[in-house]
Amino acid sequence: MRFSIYRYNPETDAEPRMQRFELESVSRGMMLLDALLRFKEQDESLVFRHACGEGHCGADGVNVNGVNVLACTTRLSILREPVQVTPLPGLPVIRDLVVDMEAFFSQYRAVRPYLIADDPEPEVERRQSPEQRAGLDGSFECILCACCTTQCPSWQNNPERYLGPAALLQAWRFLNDSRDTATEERLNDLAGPYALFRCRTVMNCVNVCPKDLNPTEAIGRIRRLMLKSSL
Amino acid sequence: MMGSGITPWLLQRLSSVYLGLYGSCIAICWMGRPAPDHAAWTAWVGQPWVSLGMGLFVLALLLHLWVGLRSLLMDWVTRTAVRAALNGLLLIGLTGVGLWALRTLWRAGL
Repeated sequence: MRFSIYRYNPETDAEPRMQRFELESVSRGMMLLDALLRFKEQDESLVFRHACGEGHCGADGVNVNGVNVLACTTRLSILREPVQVTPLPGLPVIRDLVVDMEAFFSQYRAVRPYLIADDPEPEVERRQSPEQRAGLDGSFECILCACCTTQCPSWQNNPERYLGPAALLQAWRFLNDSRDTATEERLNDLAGPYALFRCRTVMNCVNVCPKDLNPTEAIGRIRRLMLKSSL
Repeated sequence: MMGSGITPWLLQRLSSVYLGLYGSCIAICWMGRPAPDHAAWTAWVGQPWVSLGMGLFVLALLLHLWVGLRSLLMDWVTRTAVRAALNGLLLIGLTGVGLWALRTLWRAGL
């Protein structure tokens, strides 16, 4: 199986280049991460992130043939040859397939992804009904791999001002939490033409999310909540 | 919170609903009828409710266009001065089209 992998070391290379690799035998169920680990044995200088290898940590997001995926959950059998592996688009490359995620995480921090509860602290924990808890399904499972945000054309056009689907999904997760009391402040944080309203419902985020989440729907819900609170 | 980005978004949605409804009404009105000549068309548009509806249709279309094109400029034109200039040209152009449409409807009997 033929691969073409993005190589770039800003300290030594003037320009990025694509390096060819070949995999002699592909066993059943083999994932892209397994292939990358084999290539790492052939060429120790190849650099990429990986950790859990099971699609939980979100460390090994890469772009394969133009589509963002997690290397550890992408079967080689579904990939078209030659398999082009490049870093997640729109983020600065540190080296080879490793990108600088600071811009992504600063947007995540901007939505204050934690519970804000100003009401008096109860003697026991802040409780939710089963229905209130079920309302959070589909928003808390995000593993922050950045596959959605970096595949979004609106974010690529305005990476500094549009928060992107991952951060907005987290914004909705806390706006929709029955225990959170900072709804108005959170909505004010999202006000303006850029932070929330650059989403053009292209839905690339939905297509590439390795956890099958729906940030586009979350963005729509935030807009409806904003409309409701402004009427 | 109005004017915080939600106003253009709401305008775009409301205008699209009106465009769809009025467009459907026109299609239903003329379905199965022969293509009108200029005199018949002018007489039809000259009816107060039709011309009022048509005027609102043009207004909704221009608002819808403004939001869509403004979004394109926000996405693709990063220099503030260039974007402001293009937005100004866009507003002048759309206002011109609106006035021209108003003149046409006025002549038809609005």
